[in-house]
Amino acid sequence: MTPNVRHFTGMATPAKVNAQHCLQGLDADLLAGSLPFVQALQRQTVVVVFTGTASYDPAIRHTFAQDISLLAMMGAQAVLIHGGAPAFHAAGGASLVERVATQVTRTALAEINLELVRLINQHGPRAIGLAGQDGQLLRANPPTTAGRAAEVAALDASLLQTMQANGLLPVIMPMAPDADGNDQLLLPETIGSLLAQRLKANTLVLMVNGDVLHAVDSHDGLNSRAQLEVWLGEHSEALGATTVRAALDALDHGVSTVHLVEAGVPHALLSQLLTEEGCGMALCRRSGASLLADSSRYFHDCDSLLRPDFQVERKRVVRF
Amino acid sequence: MNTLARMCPVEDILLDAKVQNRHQLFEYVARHLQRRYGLAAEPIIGSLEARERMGSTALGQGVAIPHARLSGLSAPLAVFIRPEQPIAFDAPDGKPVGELILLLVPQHASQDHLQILADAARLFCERSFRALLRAAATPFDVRRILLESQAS
Repeated sequence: MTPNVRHFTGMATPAKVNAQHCLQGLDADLLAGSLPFVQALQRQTVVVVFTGTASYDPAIRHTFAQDISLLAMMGAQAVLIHGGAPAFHAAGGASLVERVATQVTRTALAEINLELVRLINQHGPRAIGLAGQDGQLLRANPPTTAGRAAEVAALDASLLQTMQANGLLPVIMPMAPDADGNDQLLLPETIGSLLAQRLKANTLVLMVNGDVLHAVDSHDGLNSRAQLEVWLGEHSEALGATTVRAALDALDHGVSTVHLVEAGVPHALLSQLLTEEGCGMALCRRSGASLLADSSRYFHDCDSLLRPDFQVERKRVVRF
Repeated sequence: MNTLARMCPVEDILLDAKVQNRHQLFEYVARHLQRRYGLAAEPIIGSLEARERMGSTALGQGVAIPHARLSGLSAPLAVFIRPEQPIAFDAPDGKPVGELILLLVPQHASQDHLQILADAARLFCERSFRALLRAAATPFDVRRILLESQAS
């Protein structure tokens, strides 16, 4: 009988190598190939924002919880902010309607929060659910326009640092009290960006709707960040503007890389962080244009200049 | 583009290099160039590391273009190198690097020499080119991809 379990010290080899075994060999190659990527994530703070319509979907939440658990168990110090607020617009001015809307939003977010914590705990890491009021993590300004998310007034990340030091994975819902104690809905991308800055994270992952990515995905190459800045200037209210604004703000304040990933794609988080290319966009604080700028300095005494568009031009020499 | 492909014959395409870090990779290439062209290894390592100190030459997404000027070199040299396992290279996206084109140019680099560097950067910024390179199993495959890239 061919053994179907290979013991660690065993030398048994199956008599026939079938398709299943080949597939397992391929999987093993993939796993072995991920080692350098796992090493690169060791003890690194990775802030993950999981939002968009995918956050309403229990099946996607389940897969996502597996992925972030695996990331944490491989040594990354993950912090999760999730979305999932119901998409309805309260009529401005009617205080009863606003209160009901806030309660419904809080309940919906709390359910998602509880579920994510439960799922992550099942997979091994110790997750802990938080809202803005816990440990005075977040305080909100009331929204200036009815139906819009509030702005973050204050953020104290010390609680999160304590949790990280104790091996906990914080799962944060995007709601925080304002100065009067009224709960306000915040944008998960904004919280993620601010937390990544405050926690000095190298990596921020914004998992959003596919249409947001498609709106901004035409920008690739050395100048993607500069192009996105221009795009944001021209489309400040467009789909994806919130995401791009949060990403650029993080890059401007010390975060090395912001990944934009479609939340609904299974295992998108792992693909983006554990393979060279991933399945989304990576925006880097240091761009390819920076490399060419450094090289221009390196070749400063040469007769030509490297340009960010990959062209080389001869320096103009003015003689007097 | 023609120049980059011409500069990198199969003998200078080094796959599965047993190196663990950036310094070992530079040493590996320098020893190769020493054997092949009789160049002194230490100045090559020193000049490559001097350029890296000005900022990493990794572009992200697993690729890098280490380059340096070298006194006494009369013509530019290119080496394609793939470590056995991707190595840390202080890349902008924090990911390890698995495919590298290493360039050495004369101390008095000309417009043509800088164009080789710009061409390598442009190629590595193309996702399809990176995918083709990763799938290349032999030095001949890598060489063919470099040659075909000049047609695009």
